[in-house]
Amino acid sequence: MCTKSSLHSRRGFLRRSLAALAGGSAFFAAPSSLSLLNAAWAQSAPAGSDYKALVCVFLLGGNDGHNLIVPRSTAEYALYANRRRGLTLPREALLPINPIAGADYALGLHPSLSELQALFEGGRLALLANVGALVEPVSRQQYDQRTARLPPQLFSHNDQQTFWQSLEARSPVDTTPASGWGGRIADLLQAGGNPDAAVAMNLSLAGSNPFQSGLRTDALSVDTGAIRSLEADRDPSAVAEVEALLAQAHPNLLVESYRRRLLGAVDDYRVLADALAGAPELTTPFPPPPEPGGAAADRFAFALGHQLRRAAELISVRQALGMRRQIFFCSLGGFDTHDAQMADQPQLLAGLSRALKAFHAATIELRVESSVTTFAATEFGRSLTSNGDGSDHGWGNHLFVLGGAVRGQRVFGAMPDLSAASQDIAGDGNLIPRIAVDQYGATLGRWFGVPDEALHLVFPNLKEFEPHDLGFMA
Amino acid sequence: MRVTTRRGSWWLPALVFCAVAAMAPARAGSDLIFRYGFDPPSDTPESRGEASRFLAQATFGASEADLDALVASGYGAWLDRQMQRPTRYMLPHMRLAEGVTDPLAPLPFWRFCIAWFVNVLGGEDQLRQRVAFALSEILVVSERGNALGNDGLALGAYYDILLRNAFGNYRQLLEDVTLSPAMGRYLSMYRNRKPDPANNIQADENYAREVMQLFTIGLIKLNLDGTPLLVDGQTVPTYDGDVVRGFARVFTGWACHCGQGQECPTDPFEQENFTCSTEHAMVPFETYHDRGEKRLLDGAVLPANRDARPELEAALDLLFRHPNVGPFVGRQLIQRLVTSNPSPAYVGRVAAVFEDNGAGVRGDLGATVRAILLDPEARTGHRTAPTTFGKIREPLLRLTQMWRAFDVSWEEDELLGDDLNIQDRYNQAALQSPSVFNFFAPDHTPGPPLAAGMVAPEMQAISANFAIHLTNDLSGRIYWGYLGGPMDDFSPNARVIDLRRWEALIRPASGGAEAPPGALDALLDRCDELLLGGQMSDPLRQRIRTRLLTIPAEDTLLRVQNVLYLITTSAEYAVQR
Repeated sequence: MCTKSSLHSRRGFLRRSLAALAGGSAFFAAPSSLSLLNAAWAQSAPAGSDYKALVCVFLLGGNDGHNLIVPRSTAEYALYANRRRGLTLPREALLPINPIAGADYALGLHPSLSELQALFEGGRLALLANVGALVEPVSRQQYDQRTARLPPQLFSHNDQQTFWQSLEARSPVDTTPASGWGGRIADLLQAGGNPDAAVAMNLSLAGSNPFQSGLRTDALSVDTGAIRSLEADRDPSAVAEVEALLAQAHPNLLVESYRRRLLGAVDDYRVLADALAGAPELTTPFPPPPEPGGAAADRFAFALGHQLRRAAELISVRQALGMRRQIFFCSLGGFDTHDAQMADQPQLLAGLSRALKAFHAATIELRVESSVTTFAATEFGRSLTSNGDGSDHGWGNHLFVLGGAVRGQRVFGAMPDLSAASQDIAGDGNLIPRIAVDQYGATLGRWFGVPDEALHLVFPNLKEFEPHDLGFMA
Repeated sequence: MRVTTRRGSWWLPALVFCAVAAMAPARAGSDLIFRYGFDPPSDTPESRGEASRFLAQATFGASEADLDALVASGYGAWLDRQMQRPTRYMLPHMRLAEGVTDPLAPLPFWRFCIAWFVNVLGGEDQLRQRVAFALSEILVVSERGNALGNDGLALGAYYDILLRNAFGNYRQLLEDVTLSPAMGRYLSMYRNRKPDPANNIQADENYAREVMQLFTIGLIKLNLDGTPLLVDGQTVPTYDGDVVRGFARVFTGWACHCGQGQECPTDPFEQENFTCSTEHAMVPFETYHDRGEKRLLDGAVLPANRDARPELEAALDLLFRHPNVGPFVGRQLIQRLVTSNPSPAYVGRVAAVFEDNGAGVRGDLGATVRAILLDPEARTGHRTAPTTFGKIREPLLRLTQMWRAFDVSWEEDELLGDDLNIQDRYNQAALQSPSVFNFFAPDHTPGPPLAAGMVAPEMQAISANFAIHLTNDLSGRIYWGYLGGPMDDFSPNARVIDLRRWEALIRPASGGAEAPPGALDALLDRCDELLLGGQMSDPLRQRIRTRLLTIPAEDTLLRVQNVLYLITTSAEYAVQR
């Protein structure tokens, strides 16, 4: 089991040093109530009794949300089919859903999403219509006349992945490292929420990402396989030398960067391995490794499922890790469907749906269903129009949120008007988002424990939008 | 019979050549250094450590023989010689190994993985191999994803384009890449058809967007030195959605080439599956090419009614002549070869050579590479900016540079299973990037302790688990993967290093109890030169030296292994400086 040790204090020292280097950011001119909040948390119930986790599932490439949620009513379906042409899903194949609020007409889900359909109908999944990257509300006229203030480099994958995750409209002349909103949440809540934690609040199952990068907290990247340590079997005493050498600072900053990465990995993985050694075996089945020659959906289900399985394991040992708050980042690639979309997207969505079903079941098994909220993210939506057999980069998109604390079986936000006179669709054919990522994030952040007066620190564009809470969290 | 790479022997003709080359007119690169008013660095490395630094930037690794030869020849002659070496291509090796001659015969991708290791470890055209690998991380296609799964033929042909053009002209490279079936499929220009307004179909924007954003000009206008061009304090976009749509229509009407004597479909656009050459450039099908007028960069207009090929040529010319290309591509090549955070002046000098090689030619990659490697900052940055100079060694290069430093050899070209799937442990393998954005982004920063504005792209691929993975993997190579060791016994496919002469160096004299006087220091000095360019820190040296003395002197193998292990897993070796 994990014990606080000298390793812990060394990392604490590291973090303080990092914070000192980041230095002087206005971000830390936080309201004094924050320190009160932290103090109150630190003295309250032991870790685990007030537990919450956010799980980001990032669909890399830009999922085509127009085929995630599709109108089923006659008139709206006709408008949809007219826009999409070769990308149209057959109406009879759509999985019907019965929202108890938020839908003006009949809707269906993509035929590959039967698991998500069941979760929606069971009240555990909510849909969000037309969310996207915005720094202020944009009208069609403003966009067409190019007078709108826009996030940098809409339609570029990497820029929009960064903006979506950081919400900072950084310019190339502003060279401060981007921090992500998951990282900023941890900056605020780490001291109060996880005072005894031996590892970072932000745990990535999908490598480095802007979302979890804080100004004074790091994310820890965790493998989905065995938790690694320095292998000592070949020359046991030499490994101790490697560790001793890693304690030596070096004047070159790149050497230092690598040294701290490896040193932190060795320390943190020791803690994780100890904790996970005492984890109960999950009985919930997760998608198995794909068979050679099997369906692509099996690959995708496993690719995401084994990340979510590791997340569930890390949730199960939250008390051993001393964590009351955890933020996870997972991703699934392949959604940039310029080509063969009607063949590829069904496989991707089927894999996604199966992996999420397994994870949700695991949260029930671990009795944290209402403490864990999983939310979908993707860098942008896609063009309504076809390019022959695929879709191109777009903007506004439909997303979903999953968990026991979600006000499920509802649609939040308005489905876009797909008629010729639409004010939701710009002259160049792009769907203009009506919900900002800041609002989406702030709703999740409030639930997670970010105080109202601190929301603007985490979500810098929020002040431009109303409401600050979209209401999808109970 | 062991097939060794026989490295070292080719230096003799190189030396002869130098004597001739010394009388040839000065090359473009050094002219430009003079023109820009910098003291030219000495053409001769002042030490073996300096030679090692240069070869770490220019090759997949250097042995002691390589260092000595470079010290003897000088940088310029070495570059001349390298640029004239015959190219080791991928496809010929792959076809020979597969036993096929039919140019349409499919090749499994694992043949490519083997050919890559054979060429980068054994090829004498080291500079070309290194530059081609760098280009493969800028003009990215990948076996991962839906488009090119296990298509070794298409991917081998693609890599051969990069090898062929590594010292050629960027305009030609751009065209070869654009028309390669691998890129065509990867970024879906293959069978991209003109818009069909009646059916609400637009041209595919994928290649149009990425050829601008990633392969030529980037998102914002740049000064020659790579800094953003500012107007009223604001950056200026290089293009907008209309330009993307214009280029998307340019890139319509292309599909694959039918091999000689092959039964060829008259309309490949309507037929889902058919066999054609994925080796040869795509060819136009005018029915599917958009003939409308196109507005492209900065108001340039391509007139209506042009065939696919001349229009494509004109559009590529526009991209190639854009002032961003020199600093945009030049900076990334510097990052791949030399340092992650080049000064604007360094980028500017390289971009100037890209713009004009001294003979009025734009886009000369050979001259550009020469300018990158001979620049004062490349040669002396470790002294003039010791806290910031250098780059995190790419994971694969950490391995190849250790291997080649210690005379790697193997009996049979095939790779062990673990090495065929090396991305599992290295998070990097040639042509297996997770997306067109490469294994890491040129502007990735891990944040502190890097100073504000500093980047360390490779750190994006070296997450916590891979940092440990790499350390363990190198341990296995050193403790098991040596000539006469367990891996050598286990399989003829193992790549093994040769530690025998290093052992001999420190073997106690007959009847002696300790290594010969000065031998341990000589061992440390020479490994320092080979692996760290002579920059080993005192604490690292002292710690290793102390450690060696705890190992019995007669256990020469373990002593040598400890030196290699503690150096190659150190944070110092993780950075190429």
